[in-house]
Amino acid sequence: MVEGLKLGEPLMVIEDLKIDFLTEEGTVKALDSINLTVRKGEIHGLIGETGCGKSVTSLTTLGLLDDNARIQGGHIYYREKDLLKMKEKKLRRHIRGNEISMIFQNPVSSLNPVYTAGEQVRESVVLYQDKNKKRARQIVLDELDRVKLPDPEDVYEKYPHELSGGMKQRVMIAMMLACNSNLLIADEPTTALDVSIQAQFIKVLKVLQEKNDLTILYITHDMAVVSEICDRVTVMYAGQIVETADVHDLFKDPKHPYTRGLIHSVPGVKTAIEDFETIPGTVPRLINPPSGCRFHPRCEYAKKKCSKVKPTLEGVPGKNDKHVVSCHFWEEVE
Amino acid sequence: MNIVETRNLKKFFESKKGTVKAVNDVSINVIKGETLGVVGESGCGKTTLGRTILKLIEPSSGKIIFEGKDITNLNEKQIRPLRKKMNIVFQDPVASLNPQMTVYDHLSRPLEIHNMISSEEEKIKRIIDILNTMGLKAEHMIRYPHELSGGQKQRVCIARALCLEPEFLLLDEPTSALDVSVQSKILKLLERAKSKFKVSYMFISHNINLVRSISDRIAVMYLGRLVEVGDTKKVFRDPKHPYTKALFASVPQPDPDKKVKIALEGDVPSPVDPPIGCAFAPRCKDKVGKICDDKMPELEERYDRRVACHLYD
Repeated sequence: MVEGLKLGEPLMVIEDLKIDFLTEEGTVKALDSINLTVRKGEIHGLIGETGCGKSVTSLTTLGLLDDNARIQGGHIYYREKDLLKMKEKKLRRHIRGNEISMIFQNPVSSLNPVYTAGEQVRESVVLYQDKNKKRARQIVLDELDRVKLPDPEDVYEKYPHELSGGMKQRVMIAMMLACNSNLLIADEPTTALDVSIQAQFIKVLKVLQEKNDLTILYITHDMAVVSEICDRVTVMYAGQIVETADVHDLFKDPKHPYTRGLIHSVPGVKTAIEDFETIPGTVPRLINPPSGCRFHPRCEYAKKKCSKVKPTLEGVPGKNDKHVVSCHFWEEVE
Repeated sequence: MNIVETRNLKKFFESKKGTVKAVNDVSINVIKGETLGVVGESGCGKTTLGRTILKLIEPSSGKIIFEGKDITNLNEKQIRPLRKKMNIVFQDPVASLNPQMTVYDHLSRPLEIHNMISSEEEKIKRIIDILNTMGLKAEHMIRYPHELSGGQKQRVCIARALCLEPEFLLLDEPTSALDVSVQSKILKLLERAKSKFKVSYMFISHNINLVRSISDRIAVMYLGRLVEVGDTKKVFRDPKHPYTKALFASVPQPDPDKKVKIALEGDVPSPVDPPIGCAFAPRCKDKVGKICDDKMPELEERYDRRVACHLYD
């Protein structure tokens, strides 16, 4: 448990993080000075379209970037320690698992097919909780029960191929819970699941958040899921943060033109197709990203300044810096 | 008038574990000019149903009727002339395009095969016209798939399917691989193409909010069977089948004030050994009694739609 940290206090703070990837075609400027604060006890949504940098952000926090990645600047403070300055050995011993754990989109490729579900969860228990075999087994069974897997004894003995997708994903959470981490990073955890299983999964996360004060960074491209589960939301576009707000403020009163466009193109906000909004153009390639605000070529409010000066995150008055937006002309957006 | 109709269509697959009843006794029609949405969770048989209708896979039994003509037993050669009247767009545009062929190649090949054009000029004119309809330009003709974005690739796939001016187009999860801002553009283009070419759509998707927006009627599938079919607005306003109710309640809405309900516990049973009675009975909260476990409910006319549930016997 995080001692001395109250609910709502910053648990992880990302400051001016800049990351490039060296590729054969050139340097991909994947993250362009992003700022993000995840607070204790919240479910923080990180949303954006393909290639916006949301997964790169999460992988960086755990030091899991590929060899061709170059961190060009910035800090990731986890409880005031800079993760970017930490040695690999220290990261492994003190951060991964103990403090921050992660679940990925595809539970099939995240589980080892030759070990049973129970054995895989037990590995986390032995590493992070209790080395005694008998007690470890009991802890595993409790964890499997906690994620609402029916008949934990039975699931313990099952191999991944004998479990359904939803069950596999729950085994993944059990594994993460067994580490007793404080921060869970979930990268598109329900994208491969059916809606009914997704609903069950979301419920499990919500309960864990309330009972265990678990903090979750929830990465997804699905606006409906974000509105369902998140307390606060950060919207990314082409490697830049465009807006952060409480989930209600974001959906009811989005300030950035991109956020607005995104929300109004989601089926369900408007029912008739003719009312759907579209964002002209396509997401730019980050080898040669647009100058200034990276959204400006697609933005109907763009002016000369937008292509010249990169906007910084500024607070919306009356929101105590809880609603920040990165746009020169956000006050003109209707 | 029906453009496509199936009668008691079945498609069973043999597997090591037993017979998989992927499509089980499905009778459905697509009315000329409409969009029929087909929804259901993974493994419910919606994709198999679509492909069997187009005879991309052979049905096990039952009938497929296209424009009033029984096409169930037509062989590959006999069906070929019909191929230009019914077409398909797949989920993954990357896998659907040949990386060595330009957009022009992709669009000209079907026109040549079906002798739709008399001269090169006419061909180019037609290709440009269909590209424009899909929001692409003439200059895209010389591009290869890797030079296009995901949304553009899918627009080429739709253009290829529409260039033969089909009567019926099967759209199997056409926007699932795309980002939302691109998705809404594709949906608008599909609507535009529908009125321009007077084509009927069957739109298969697991995205229920999306099907709600695009379809005139909706068919809900569960474990190889239809459980409810009706007017989209009516079915959404007041779903009758317990599965439809539960499914709709599980769909997250992009509104923080609306929360999903967990209406479905457990998983979908295996299609290898489906329950004898109603397939949904083991998970159903509105079970009437023993009859649900013993007898398969028929899809019958109830109220303003068709429902397969003993609740309304």
